[in-house]
Amino acid sequence: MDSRRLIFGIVGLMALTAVAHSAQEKISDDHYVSRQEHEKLKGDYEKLKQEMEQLKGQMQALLKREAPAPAQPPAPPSAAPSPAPPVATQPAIEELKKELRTVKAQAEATKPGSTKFLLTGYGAAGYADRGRGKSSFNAVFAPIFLWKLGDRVFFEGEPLFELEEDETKVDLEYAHITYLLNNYVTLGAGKFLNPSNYFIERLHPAWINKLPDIPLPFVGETAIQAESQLGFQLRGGVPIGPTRLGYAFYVSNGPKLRDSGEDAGTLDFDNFEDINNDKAVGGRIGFVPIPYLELGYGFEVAGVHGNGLRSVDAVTHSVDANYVRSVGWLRGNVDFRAQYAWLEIDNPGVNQLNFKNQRDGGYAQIAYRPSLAAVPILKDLEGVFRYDWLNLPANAPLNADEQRWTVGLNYWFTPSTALKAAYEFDDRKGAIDDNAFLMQFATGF
Amino acid sequence: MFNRKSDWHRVLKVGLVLLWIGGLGLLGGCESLTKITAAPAQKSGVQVWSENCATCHYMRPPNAYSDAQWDVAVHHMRVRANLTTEEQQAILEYLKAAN
Repeated sequence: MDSRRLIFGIVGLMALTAVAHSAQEKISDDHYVSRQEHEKLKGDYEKLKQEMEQLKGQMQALLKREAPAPAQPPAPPSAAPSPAPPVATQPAIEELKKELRTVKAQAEATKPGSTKFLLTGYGAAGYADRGRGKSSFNAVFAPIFLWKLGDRVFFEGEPLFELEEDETKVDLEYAHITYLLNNYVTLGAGKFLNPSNYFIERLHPAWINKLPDIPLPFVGETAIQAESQLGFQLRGGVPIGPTRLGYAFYVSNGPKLRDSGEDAGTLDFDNFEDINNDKAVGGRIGFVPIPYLELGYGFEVAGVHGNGLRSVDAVTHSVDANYVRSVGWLRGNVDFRAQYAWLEIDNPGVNQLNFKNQRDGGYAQIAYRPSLAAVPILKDLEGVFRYDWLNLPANAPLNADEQRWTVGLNYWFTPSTALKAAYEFDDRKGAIDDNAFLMQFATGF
Repeated sequence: MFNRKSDWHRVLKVGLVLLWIGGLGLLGGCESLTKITAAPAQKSGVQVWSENCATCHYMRPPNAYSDAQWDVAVHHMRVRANLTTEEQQAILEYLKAAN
């Protein structure tokens, strides 16, 4: 099938889906109940009903004993309002309500897997038609396992299943145990999302990311900042009057330097069995001067080397700004993001890396959703615009600077389920541009 | 317009720096340092929920999870979003009350 027809077909399908959905009632967010849970709740209900009948009987017997003999026939129902319940019934009703709440809480608490464990996560299915490659469908599944092991101890883990070529690729996104030291400090250990990279730590899951793909500086072999760290971290938040400060500092294995091939000079962040004793130290401070605005600064200092090379310093900085809020006069939600990162790696003094190894990149994105609009279908539509870029060292084997302009349109079925469509205008220096049409259906559960 | 890459970058960098300066200015504009380090103003649970959760994603309705499940989910988000114990409790109380 001609790819242009396919694109029009998919866009048409998206529009039809949006219209059809808006014409229906909102999908209920209630959970399904298993047969076993249903039977248990039914049993609890029957038991409660019996107890209520017994209480009612006892109450009536009590009232009969306490009430004086009737002196006159009762008034017709329409003649006077029905009398208030006797004072003696009030405590009994309160007792009954308390008991009902206790039973409800017990029923909730005994649901399997919900007392200390929660399975959540996200999944997405997409379609990409890139100018320089073949069009293809894709899918990703990322369950997140959460265990609350006590008031202070917590474990979170996320395997990521992706389809790559002819295989299903599995990555451990994070496996992270934390301990709350006090109200403002948490100690964490394991593999965790990179705290110095705001986009990756907070915004990359498909049901949160407004576009189907990830900005240039954070993906692929030329990435400036890592997706995750393997080590220890200290993090927390401190309110400062009307403002607040969030922080996270870590020590980790850090990256290694690729010293040969076409990606020589780039960093390999998958350094799980550290190749040296040099570690990376980094972190991020996020400042919230007014509600809904966060400004952040992140950094990382690492000693890196390739095979047989001397260790050199790799220093990364990043600044980010995020502003998200519902604006009455715009009748909707405004979501602004920007992040800029730059990296400098010292020269280890070998021929293949004999160039000034500096790279930088970033993105700025704005999204608007008319969530306060009067027309129902508009409330769930969201327009997105993003500009992202990546500058590479001029004399490196991989040196094609790139910039992209992406426009997107999303339809939100629920707060965590969206159908996204986007078109990317690509501009590569000295290489063929890679314009792309992207679609993604993403859900968080 | 698309070829003037350096202009785009300059605008973004200057914009980010201005946002930083603006933020620091707001901090400096506070009445006194004593006040800055004072206990946080009491915010309602729904306010803390709205100001922190919506910073990253659209918020799920309180009935999306049971009380016990919210207990786990909010602890997860407390670590990720650098919340304090008071903020975690305020969000939890709101979600449970509205559930």
